[in-house]
Amino acid sequence: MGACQNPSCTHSSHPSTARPAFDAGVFSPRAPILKTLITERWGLPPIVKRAHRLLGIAVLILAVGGVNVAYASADFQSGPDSADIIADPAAHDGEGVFLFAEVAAVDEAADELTIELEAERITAVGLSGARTEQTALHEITVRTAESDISGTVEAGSNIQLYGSLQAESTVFVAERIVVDFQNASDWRYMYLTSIAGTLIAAGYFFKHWRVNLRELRFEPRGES
Amino acid sequence: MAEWVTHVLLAYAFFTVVSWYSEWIDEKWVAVAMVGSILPDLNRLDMVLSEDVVSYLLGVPFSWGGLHTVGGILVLSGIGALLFETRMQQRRAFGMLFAGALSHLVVDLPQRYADGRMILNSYAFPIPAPRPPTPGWYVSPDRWVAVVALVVAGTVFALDYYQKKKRTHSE
Repeated sequence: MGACQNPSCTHSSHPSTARPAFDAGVFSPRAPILKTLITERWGLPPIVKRAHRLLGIAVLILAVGGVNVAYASADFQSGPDSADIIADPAAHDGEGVFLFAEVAAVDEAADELTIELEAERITAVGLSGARTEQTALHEITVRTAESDISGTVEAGSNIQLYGSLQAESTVFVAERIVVDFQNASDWRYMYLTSIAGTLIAAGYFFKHWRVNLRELRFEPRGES
Repeated sequence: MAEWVTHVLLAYAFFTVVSWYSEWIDEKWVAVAMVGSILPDLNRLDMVLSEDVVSYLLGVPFSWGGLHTVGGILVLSGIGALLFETRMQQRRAFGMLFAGALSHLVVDLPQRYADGRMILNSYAFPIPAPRPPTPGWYVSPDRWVAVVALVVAGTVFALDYYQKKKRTHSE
């Protein structure tokens, strides 16, 4: 076997003295074609490898767009959502509804809240931002007398409501209300913890990895 | 959506414990999983580039919410993995980013919802899933959640520290 260094001799007409064709190279089960390709890729010059990675990243960024388009088209809610109610307020009386909304006003004496469902349309997008126009504003009175409310509600709170609609979707009889964000201090807490969380993750990450800007990649610290 | 202190610290705690039983998961890969635990909340890109604007420009429905799903974190983990060099690093980075991001979705599941059910169907997208009942443990701004995460991470940090110290002593 040692005498044959030339790869062409695998095609020799004397199989008994040459390595069988299927034992060598890409067709061998020990070195499947994919693995051979990868091994070959490792041999590519760094600039080509970087280009490959950047191409891969570009393709995956398009895929992120695709996921977000597909997700936006999927319907995760069994009952009507804000858009359905605005589109046809009379069609949903008596239906069980699970809504996310912002509180417009609170009337504690009457155990009532007011929420506003709003529809907007973008009319133009420029460098300074988007111009929008309001296409619909639908006010709903929420009766909370019988409902179980977690947390304290005030105008501006972001809440979830579960209950049923009545009177052409102008009245919502709430069974349960969950207050997600009561006021500005809740939002501030979320922003501050987001910054703190980012700092913890980034701190721990860059303790162990460094950025190679020229190659656009991360490399482990402490290894050359 | 718990806040990021909770997500990052719980990922630290969980993957540090996993590292005790793993050959290759060390601190630097735990760190990658901690970064991964933030990935699903990149849906807040909405505050930088509104999904309504993207939808207007593309002419099709668009929601950044797609990132807070199994499908979204698969693709994001792929992007992150390509920022590493060797095949082995890329594979490990992908695994740790995805596992970290998955831990985020799991931590987000038992939140309180007015209709009493988890929104697993949305998180699992594009895998079909039901909406099982939620224990309703917390809503996003509940302060005690981060306190629990701090205590858990602190305990794991101490155990990890003493374990490593013992090992260097016995060597």
